[in-house]
Amino acid sequence: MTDGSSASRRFRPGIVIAGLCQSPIIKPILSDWDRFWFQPQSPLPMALFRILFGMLMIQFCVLIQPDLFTWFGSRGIVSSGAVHSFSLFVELNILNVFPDNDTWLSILFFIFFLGTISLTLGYRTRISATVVFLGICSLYHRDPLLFNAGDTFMRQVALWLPFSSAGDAYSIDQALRNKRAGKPWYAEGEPSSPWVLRVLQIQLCLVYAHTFYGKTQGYTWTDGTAVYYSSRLVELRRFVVPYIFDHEWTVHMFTYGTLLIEFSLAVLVWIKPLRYWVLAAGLCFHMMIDLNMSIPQFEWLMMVSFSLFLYPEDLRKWIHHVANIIYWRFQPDARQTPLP
Amino acid sequence: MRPSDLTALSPLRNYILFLGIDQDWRVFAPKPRDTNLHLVAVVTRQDGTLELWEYPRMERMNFVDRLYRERFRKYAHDNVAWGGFESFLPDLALYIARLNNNPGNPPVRVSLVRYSAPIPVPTAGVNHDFPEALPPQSDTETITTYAVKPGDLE
Repeated sequence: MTDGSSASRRFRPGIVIAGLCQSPIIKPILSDWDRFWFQPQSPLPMALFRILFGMLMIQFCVLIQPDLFTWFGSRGIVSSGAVHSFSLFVELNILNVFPDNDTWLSILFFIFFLGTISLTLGYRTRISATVVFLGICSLYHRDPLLFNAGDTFMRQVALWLPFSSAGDAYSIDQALRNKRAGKPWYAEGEPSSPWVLRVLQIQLCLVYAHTFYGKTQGYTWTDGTAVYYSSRLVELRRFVVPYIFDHEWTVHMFTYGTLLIEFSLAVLVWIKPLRYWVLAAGLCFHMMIDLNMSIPQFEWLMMVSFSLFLYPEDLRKWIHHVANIIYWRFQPDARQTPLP
Repeated sequence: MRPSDLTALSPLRNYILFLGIDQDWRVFAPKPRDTNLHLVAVVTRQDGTLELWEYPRMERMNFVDRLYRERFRKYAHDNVAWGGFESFLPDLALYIARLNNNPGNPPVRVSLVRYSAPIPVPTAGVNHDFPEALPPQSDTETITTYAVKPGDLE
């Protein structure tokens, strides 16, 4: 015989989960989780990153354009057939939708290039970011052996940018919105959920975490000689930096220093008092590599990505400071009246 | 192992590869390459003469040219010059044949040769005479030979 009391004793997962969420241990964790991902935040870091990333994408197009047909053309170094036989998966490649000829390649590349410019300017930002993603993804799938880890990071970024608030500050989109609302053209948009910013921050940390872990598996990194070998790859050498790569103690220091900085950029960057110190170390690290090695765009992309970790209040302060300097320079009479 | 190979992500593998967001962050890991190399193509013409064509070499370029031609280094030095990319080699050889085409005496065969040399193991950390101390790239291996077919050069 069944009655209401047995029904009331039936296990109800929803009630149990709701009860757990209200427990004194779980509730603060959920609250922090929610705040981390969704508490509205200024769009400034994403906007700055959009501009810098967009400039790198423009450079990407400029650098690859002279050899466009060599790499992606119908009579280039790599045929579509060879790529198809290499990869057995269905891959997103807009070039496959159109006839395999150089005219269509030129048209699609031009659209991609326009997308990089409009992304940088913040015009139709979401659409522009989508065009950029489709462009870089298609080129990658047309000729995957051309692209390095930096290009992979570019694809990751371009995938997420359309969902972000990157167009809500210092963009044509925002200037037009401000004009309609009667605000100054440079006013930043309303704070919004920063979940895309968090995804990109975590993505960047994963890059460093993965490469740190990968390096710990190699004996040249653990015996301290890896930097010696990398500095002797003649095809990558930009300048012969004196002394640093010629002595055992400096080679050891830079090898272990690389591991330390990459670990810091993956982990310690999340600790607020350490963040700017870690980013400063990361900047020095990448500039040092860029001085010594010619790996176009990769180091610059990593440095540009550090802007994702800038606190909006600091960024606003710096931008305001720079804007004031420019304002005073061109309007000397207004020295006593800083920008609003 | 790539993240998309993980069991937890395997249901998403096809989508990850479709979107081109598969990741493998191993910059100089687990160890930097310990070999210097360059590629040379030997082009055999119809009359039997041989010509050499050198694949772009970064170390012989100026700052600006390196920026523009980095993809050549990436494509060959990090990829096709080594094993596992055999399906790409005929296209590369054909490209070289087209570059060196002379209708009166066309190429009939292209051989791509890798010249390499290991980077010496550091001894007591004293390498003051870098880069002159690096050995000449004299180890050779023919990585492909392509017989140019009628119609290839049209």
